[in-house]
Amino acid sequence: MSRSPEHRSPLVAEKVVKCFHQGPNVVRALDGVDLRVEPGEFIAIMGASGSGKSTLLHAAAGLTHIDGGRIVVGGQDLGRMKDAALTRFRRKHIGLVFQAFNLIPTLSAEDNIRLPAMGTDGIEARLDRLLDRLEITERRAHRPDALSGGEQQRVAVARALITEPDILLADEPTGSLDSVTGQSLCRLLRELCDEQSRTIVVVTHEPAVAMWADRVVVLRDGVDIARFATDGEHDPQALTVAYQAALAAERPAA
Amino acid sequence: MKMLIKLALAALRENRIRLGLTSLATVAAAAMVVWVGSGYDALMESFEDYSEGALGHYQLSVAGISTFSQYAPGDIPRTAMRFVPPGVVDDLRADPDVEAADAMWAQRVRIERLGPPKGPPAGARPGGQRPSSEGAVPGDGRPSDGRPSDGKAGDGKAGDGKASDGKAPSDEKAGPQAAAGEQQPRPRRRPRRTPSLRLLGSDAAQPPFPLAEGRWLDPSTPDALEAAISSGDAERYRLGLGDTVRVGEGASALDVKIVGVVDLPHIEGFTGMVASGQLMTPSVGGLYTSMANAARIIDEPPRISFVAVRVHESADITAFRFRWAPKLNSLETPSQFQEAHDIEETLDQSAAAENVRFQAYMSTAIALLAALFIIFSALSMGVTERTRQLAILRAVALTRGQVAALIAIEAVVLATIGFAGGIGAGQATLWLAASASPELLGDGAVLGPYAITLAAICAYGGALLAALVPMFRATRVRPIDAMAPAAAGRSRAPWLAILIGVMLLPVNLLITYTMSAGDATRVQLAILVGFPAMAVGIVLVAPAVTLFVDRAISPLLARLSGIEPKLLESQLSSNLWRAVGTAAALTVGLSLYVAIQVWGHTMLSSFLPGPWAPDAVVTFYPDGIDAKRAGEIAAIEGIDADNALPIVAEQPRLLEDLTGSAERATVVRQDNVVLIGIDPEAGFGGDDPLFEMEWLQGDRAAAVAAMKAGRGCIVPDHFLRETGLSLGDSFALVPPGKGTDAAVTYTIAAAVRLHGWHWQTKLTGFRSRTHRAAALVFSDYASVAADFAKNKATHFWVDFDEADADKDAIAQAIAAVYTADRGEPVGIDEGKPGQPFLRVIGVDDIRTMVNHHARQWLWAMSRLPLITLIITCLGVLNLILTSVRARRWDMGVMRALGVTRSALVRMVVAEGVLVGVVAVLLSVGLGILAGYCGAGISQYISFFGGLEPQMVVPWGEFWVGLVAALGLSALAAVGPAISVGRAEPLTLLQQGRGTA
Repeated sequence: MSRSPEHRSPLVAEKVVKCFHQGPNVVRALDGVDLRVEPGEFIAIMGASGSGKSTLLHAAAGLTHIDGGRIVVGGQDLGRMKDAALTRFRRKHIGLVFQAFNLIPTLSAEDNIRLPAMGTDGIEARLDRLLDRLEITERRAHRPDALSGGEQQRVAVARALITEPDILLADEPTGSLDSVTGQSLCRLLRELCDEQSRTIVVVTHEPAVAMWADRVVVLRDGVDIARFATDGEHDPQALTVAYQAALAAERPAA
Repeated sequence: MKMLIKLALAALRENRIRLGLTSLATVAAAAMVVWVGSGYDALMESFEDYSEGALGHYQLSVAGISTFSQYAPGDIPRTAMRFVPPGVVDDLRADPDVEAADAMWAQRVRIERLGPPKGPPAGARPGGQRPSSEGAVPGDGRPSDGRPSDGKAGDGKAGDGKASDGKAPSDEKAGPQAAAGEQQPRPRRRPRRTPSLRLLGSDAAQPPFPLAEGRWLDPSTPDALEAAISSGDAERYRLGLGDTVRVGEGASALDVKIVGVVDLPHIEGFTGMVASGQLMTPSVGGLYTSMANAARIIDEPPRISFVAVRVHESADITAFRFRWAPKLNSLETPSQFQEAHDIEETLDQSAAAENVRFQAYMSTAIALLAALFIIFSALSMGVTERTRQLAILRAVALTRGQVAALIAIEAVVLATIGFAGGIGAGQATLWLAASASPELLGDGAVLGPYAITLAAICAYGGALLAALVPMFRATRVRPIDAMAPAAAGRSRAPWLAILIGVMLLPVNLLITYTMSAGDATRVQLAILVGFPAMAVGIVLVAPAVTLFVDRAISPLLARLSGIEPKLLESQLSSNLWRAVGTAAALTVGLSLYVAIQVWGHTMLSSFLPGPWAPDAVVTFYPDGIDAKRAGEIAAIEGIDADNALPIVAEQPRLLEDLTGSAERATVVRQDNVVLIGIDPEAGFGGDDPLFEMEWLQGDRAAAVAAMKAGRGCIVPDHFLRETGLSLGDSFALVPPGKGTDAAVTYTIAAAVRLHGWHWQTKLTGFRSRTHRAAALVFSDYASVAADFAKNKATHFWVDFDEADADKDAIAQAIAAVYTADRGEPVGIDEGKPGQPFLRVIGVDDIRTMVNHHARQWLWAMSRLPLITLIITCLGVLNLILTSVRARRWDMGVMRALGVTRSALVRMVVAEGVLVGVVAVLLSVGLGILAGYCGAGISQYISFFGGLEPQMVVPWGEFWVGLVAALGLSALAAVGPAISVGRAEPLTLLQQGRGTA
């Protein structure tokens, strides 16, 4: 079982800088971003394409090294960890959900879910619970190419949760799904947060996804320009208005 | 681990065709090793069985301590010439533990049957003994293949020629074709030598082995002209009880009657026969006779090659050996005991066994390299295709080490399939060969521990080495690549690696040809550093060659194929390492083939008679023709009257071992020379000398003058190198049969290039005393004739007056002159027992024969590389399938935009050809370099080295290999090409979407 929120540490990003080199030019994808996600909190990171939101998520997952600042997950500074330790830490403490599902096509749904838990005994009950909770028990033996997009993404979520990580990071999780399936997935994430006090960070540019979060962080050009709380009513219109207001407030005068 | 294994198996299953092809290639490579290795296992098994029975009724043999080093196959090892001091026999007999101690004298002799044949036809005996190439004994009225006689080969009357004293009769009655004048023209055939076997002189009271027939020799009548023969030789030469055979040659030959047949232990295969022939045990005998008879036949006082010892049953052999060992070691010829296990060890360590072992190692190395590159190519393709999957695994589960382990598991799975399949396939092909063509398995075939171990080394070694780079590449995949994998494109050329490769390539050349070092050091450096550096160098340079082909050859090939060059552009360089791996796999077999051909023909060049050699040598047996007959011979039609010279030839020993033959004997490091006495002016001077020499040191005029002055001589250049002598230096020669105080001194007047003198002297009878000589030396006729008591011309060296002279007619005409000279009929090519005869050996015949044998031998050596080439073509098929699979979307678009099926097919086939071109370029470079260095290093290691051959590139054989490689590469691409050509554009687009 996962630890209760009061025993977990927050996800902390302090003055995070990440640069990409494109020929002679250096692009600062993240330019001193600060972020703190409390245990059991569900936040959405929003921004236009190229704003740095996915880069921030990748950095938070330890998938890429940052050029400045620090990221602390579960009390561990990811930048100070060696690759093998970071991999093991990520496997145990961080669940990842990708836009393109990223399932291993040669493995069955069940084996895909088992992947992060390899070498761990006693996960059968947890696996059954997850399959049941995500309503894919009947599809457990199927390979990804035999699953629908929604089923694939639920398998991906199950894979992210099999080790009962402290934090679930999702990068555009509905990007490859239709709107109905996408909303179903968002509802699932919300329920996981509410029922299991999971810490969830979702990167999205869709208000219909962000509205399920407790709080929204808005990035533009690698800088966090606004934060606001959602109203809890899951109203996409209201969130759209708030998001546009945040962008407008920061837009330089012409 | 369980999950890793599941992932690895799933990945392999995902691409079943690649798995199948890679496995097939690995299976074939391992089977090839099993095939060769099983010969060695069979040999070891034969040795074990043979050594148990080699001593017969004895338990021990006492012989000189072995100091065998390298010697040519067929040469008598040095230890065979060392004899056990006679006193030791009496000492042994005086020992109370000894029941019998019998001295034995082993010497190879020639035999001839007298009288009609008896016994069953010659053929393979049960157990598969190799039939003798010599076939039946001459004089038996049957051709060597055992077919019924046509009545022309012999007269069948020789059986009455037995003299009462056993000596060969000299007044043999002439046969129908004996008188040259009466002879009818007949097709010339190569002179056939009488067969030889090992004569074992012994006065043992009991036969060393059980008697199959007849009785053993009676030791109370040592002068009785009787012998016992081994059952194998009896069968081989169709001899039986009561048959009379002439043993030995010349005046010392003795006619003996066979009174018993001895059942000797049998050893399988040619290699086993060669190895066992070097033993000093009673089993080496072919024909057993008394010591007294042996001494008469060999024309020397009795000697002891070894002493066979039987101890009493109550005796402790170990204690006996321990007691006697110091005494034997301190004998004049240091000697030692041999028991069955010592014999087995001797056989195991024999040069013949080492040769088979070396072949097994070589086949393992070749197969390992082939498996390595094919598996490397397959794993590389897998890593490239699965970059995103590996990134996902890295992101959600696996450490770098686990990703590497994943690739290693895939390699081990491939190796296991290859190993198990190779054992099975090897065993199956051996069984088929044993059933259908047992002659293919010269040494037999047993699937034993050696073959299995080598197959395991090939499969697992190749796979694990192949996995190293893909493993490294897999660990370089970043978790972030799961989000956006690096875009595919032209691979970057690894210029640093290429530079290192370029620097490594000439290392072996420097070691072989320019470095100053001792022989042993040079050879060790070449093996440990030179050749590996060359191999690594070519692999590192391979990317540059691939890029070159991609940019320079690809547009040309596209135009030749009638396709748009853009369609073929970058096909190799877009997946550089995959193409390099496949080309390198092809290079393993092809470069070895090229290297063997270059090495072989380069080495051969020194053994082919060069332009210096006159057209023919006429040899007059047994002791020559009156030199005054020169005018008659010169007048014969077809012979160049100005260039027909009588010569005297002798093969005297050098007073001192100037060539260091005792240290390491080679084809030019021997303790004797062939000395030719010839008219200096006619031979080398004047406007039209018989010999057109390339004068390397000294000049023609000075040489002729020195020869005319007496005992001046011309030597080959290598003689100066090996002896350290210079022009003006002298060397002493001991006339045969005389003591060292009778030595005569010759002075070196010039040095010439004498390519091919070895075969000239071998086939013409110049080498009459021993198998080998250090040099062919020319001096003046008078000095040689006087110094070596030659009152007749042993040979004539002649030129023909036209290229296509009728040699048969010339031989007939010379025979008439010889008949007149002898006053009795003479034979041509061979005579009846005791009859004089002559042989005309044309230099073109020698060249043809040497070339024919050498090419046969080189083709036999090339079988393994060519099989490897075929196996590695599976790698090309793998590559093309992967390439086509990855580009189905592109090809669908091309077809949709108007590219024809035919153009698509040609494009894919051309890609296969491009891989072949890369392999050809690499192989030509590596093969020529390796062949040339191999020929160079052979000078220091090989028995046949020392002649400093010039590099020869055999273009005919070259093109065969290169065209085969290109053809096989194209053929490998045809299947995938047709498959993609037949697909509808929409199908390609749909299939391609899944991989795009």
